Amino acid sequence: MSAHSFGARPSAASLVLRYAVASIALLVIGVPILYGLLCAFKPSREILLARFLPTRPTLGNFSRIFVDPRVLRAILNSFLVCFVALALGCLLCLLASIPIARRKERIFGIFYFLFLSSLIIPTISGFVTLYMMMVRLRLVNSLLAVSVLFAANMLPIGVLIFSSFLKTVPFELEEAAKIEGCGFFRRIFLVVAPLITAPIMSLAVLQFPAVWNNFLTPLLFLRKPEARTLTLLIYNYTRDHESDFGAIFALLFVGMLIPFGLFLGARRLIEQSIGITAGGIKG
Amino acid sequence: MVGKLESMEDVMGKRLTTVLVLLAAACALLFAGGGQEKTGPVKVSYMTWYTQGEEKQLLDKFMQENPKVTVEVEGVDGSKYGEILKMRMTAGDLPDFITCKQNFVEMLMREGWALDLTGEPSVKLLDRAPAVKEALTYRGKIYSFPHEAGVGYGQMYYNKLIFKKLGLPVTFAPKSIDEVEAALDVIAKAGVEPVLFGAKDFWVTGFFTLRWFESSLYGAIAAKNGGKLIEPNAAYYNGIAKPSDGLRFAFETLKKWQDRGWVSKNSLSMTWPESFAYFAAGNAAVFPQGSWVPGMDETKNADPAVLDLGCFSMPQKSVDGKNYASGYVDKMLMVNAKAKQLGGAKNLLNWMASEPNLVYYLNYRKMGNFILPLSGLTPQPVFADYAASLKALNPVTILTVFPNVPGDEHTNLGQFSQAVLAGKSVNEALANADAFYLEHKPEIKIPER
Amino acid sequence: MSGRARSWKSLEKREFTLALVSVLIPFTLFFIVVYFPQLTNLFFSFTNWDGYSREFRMVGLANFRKFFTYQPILSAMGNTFLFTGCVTVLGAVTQLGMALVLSRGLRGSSFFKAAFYLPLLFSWVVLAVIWNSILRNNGLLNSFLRTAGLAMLARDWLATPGTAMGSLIFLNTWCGFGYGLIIFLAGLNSIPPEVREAAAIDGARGLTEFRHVTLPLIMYSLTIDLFLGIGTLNIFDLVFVMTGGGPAGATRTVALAIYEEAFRYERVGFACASSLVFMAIVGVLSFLQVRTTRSQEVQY
Repeated sequence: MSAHSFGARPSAASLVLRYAVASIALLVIGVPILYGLLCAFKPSREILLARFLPTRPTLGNFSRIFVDPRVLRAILNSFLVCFVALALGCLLCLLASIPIARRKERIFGIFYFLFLSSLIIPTISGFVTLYMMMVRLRLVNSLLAVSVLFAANMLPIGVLIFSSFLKTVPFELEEAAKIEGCGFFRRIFLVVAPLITAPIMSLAVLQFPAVWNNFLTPLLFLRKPEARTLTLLIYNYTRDHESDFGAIFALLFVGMLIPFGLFLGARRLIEQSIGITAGGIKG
Repeated sequence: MVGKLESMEDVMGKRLTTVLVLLAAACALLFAGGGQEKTGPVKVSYMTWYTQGEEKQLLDKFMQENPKVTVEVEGVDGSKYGEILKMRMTAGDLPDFITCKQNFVEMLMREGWALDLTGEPSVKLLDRAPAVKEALTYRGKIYSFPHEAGVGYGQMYYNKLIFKKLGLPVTFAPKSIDEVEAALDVIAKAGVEPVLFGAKDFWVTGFFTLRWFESSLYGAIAAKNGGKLIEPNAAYYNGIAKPSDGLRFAFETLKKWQDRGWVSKNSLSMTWPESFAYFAAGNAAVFPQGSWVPGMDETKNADPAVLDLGCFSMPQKSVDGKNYASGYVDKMLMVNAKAKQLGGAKNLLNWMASEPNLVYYLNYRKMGNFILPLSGLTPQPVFADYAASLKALNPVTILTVFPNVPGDEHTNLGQFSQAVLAGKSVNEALANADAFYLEHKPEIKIPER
Repeated sequence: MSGRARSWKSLEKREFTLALVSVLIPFTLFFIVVYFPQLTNLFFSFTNWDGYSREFRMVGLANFRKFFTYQPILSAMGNTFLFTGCVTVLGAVTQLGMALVLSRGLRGSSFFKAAFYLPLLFSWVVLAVIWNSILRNNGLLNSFLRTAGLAMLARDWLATPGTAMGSLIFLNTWCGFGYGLIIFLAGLNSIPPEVREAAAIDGARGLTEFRHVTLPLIMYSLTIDLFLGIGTLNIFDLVFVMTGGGPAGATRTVALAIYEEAFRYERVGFACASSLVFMAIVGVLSFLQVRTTRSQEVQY
């Protein structure tokens, strides 16, 4: 098996084989996505016909969806929610992880355990209670409240990533600052934060799709049409305008473009953060 | 060390302030975009399952005639309707005015959310149909008004163009199921998709098997009751009969149709709206659906070169010389007893339920037969043939109001009919239906009359 | 001297308090949003609450007993474990294989890595529309099979009980491929070159190489994949938008069953009990998994 021989020079045949395998996988991954994107340019009737390429490409679907004021509003809502959720989430993760990583007292170990073991809790199990709480607090349809929910749900992974990263960072700088008289919270924001910028960005980038694409939480808590996020709007479109396939795929196109755009800009960060997560899992 | 700290402070300070300012701005935007109260005219909140603005024309007319009132509509997708209604009720967050089915009216009534409408002018209209009024009366009080109701199911829409092309009668009025099956055979052998269901939504086949075989349903249940007519759900509840008794003939017919290739193989892939879009594009011959003409817009905008819509009534197997048909109350209007805008909601109800406005609504919505005698209703042309064949059957009309297991009856029992299409045997599917009913029977709540 | 020591001690104490406050701010929010609902679930699991009535009864352990005897829940558990097992194994095999293919700095590997990651950027709401369109009876896949002369393979992939689960397994593997791949590649690259060179110089094929290179790699990736598998046990989104649990319950997973019990059948008490029991099962499994893989770890 040529793939196992790390030391020897690769033979031409093995190279060809490897490229072939990778290309086949690329087709399997890429073709459905490409198909989805192409359907946005077909009129609705044609989408039912299950052909791959559009015969008469049209931009009509896009004009139909952008005429709908809810679409632009939903895009704006999604951006706002993501920004607030990620910023707040990173902040909270930072506040939680630094003591956990730096202090030796047992109680912080308990907090760490509590954060991580919550990963086994299924998301839907909390909804009935959460909904009742949200209504009693008059927070239904509040995008801010939904952002806070997302931020809170970032904590397990965020704490995992930050604390395992921090363990690899020497704390002399913080010690020195402490001796200088720098207060606890000031230290966090002035000393530790610059050191941890890369993991923060990585966490934000890693969690962005999770927040952007989440539809269950918005489904339950955001019911006013003006309050919907883009993914929720897409879900509603598939139920309300089920027969207007063209519009649905056009909306999908827009919905896919945004995470894709951010992905292009932040590829390396994603890889880094996955690597750190894996490291944290091992540890 | 100190110098380093200070310069880091500067940088971090600037970075932090920017982030915090942006965060504050975003929060402010979100807060503003959230649920805020606006001042102005009286706002009556209204929850309905019509998400495509089907009621807009009616409500606009209301707001025109009542300029000081605005109706704020919240459309909730039908498949989630019950869940959302229950959640909002638990949370004490119901709108002023509500559309729902009668079983939810009973639920709201039990929990103290339904306004007693007994004295209201709209309810006087019900005097024209005493049987209906009685069905909607609980302990002498009435809590809802039927906005959409009718008689008879079993509408089989068909594409006259396909029938003509295959040599079948363009005005199709079969008197027996055999006639229908013979036609389906011709269609199937010609390679055209015969009967199309949107079977991915399992309420579609549930609806079909529950309601398109009414005569055999009532007949089978009556047979278990010593020949006396009894509401099927009441019979199930009291152990007189089982769901499988009522459904057997329907399931067997469905299975037979599938085995003989008379059900389109695309049915299980399609949800209900997808299926009517497909049918309206001229791809299938027969499309069973209720009296809301297949996807109004689809057929209104259908290309006449591919679709000429017809409708016949599903022939019934008569039982002891009798045929049965269901009267149904589908969309009910009710008022939240704890509404903030109680007066406004009551006015809206009385306005919508007055004869001229009711007729106006039914006409522009092109709804099928209504259950109260109303003057001024113009029938939908496609129902001319259907109405004639239904009349020829001269059915005994039964209004069923006994509750079934929680959740939509068509969905709950529908999953078993879908299983038949997916390959399960009829006996197994029926056994599962029975087991399901027994399992969930404790949750059935019978209202006091 | 003693004054300084005292001020240091009080400084330390203040440090501790502030550290505690720092953790408590996020933790309080976390507790309210994540743990508190579980406590209310615990309460309701002893009742027969239907989710909306003002009245309900206490029913003791009836809901818990029901979990182990109720056929739809048991078959949902079967479906869930089958799904998770297949996805984990299939995922590990394909991801490891591709990692080996792309390893040793194959030119263009970063392009491939990026491309494989694409499905993870999109919501299942979006992907479901695309895949439904491909897998339906008159969809892209079947029309391709028919034109390629393979018409007997064409079927309604999501609506036939036999292939529905298989389709979902494929879809989940398809989607998560890029993520696991990156982890495997990182693991491959973490094998010190000396070890690889040593293996090559020894002319080592087969056993030695396997023991020193491949096996640790497999253990490493298994750890990660099993950990991610916990999330797969709670799979909901994918099933909800693709099949809704059908046909005939063939793809109903535990999370979906819990959702149905709570929101469709009005048995919130039972749903709460099921959720807690299943959570306990998942917890035990993850505990065992962490234990076994910890002991197998190889450090370089």
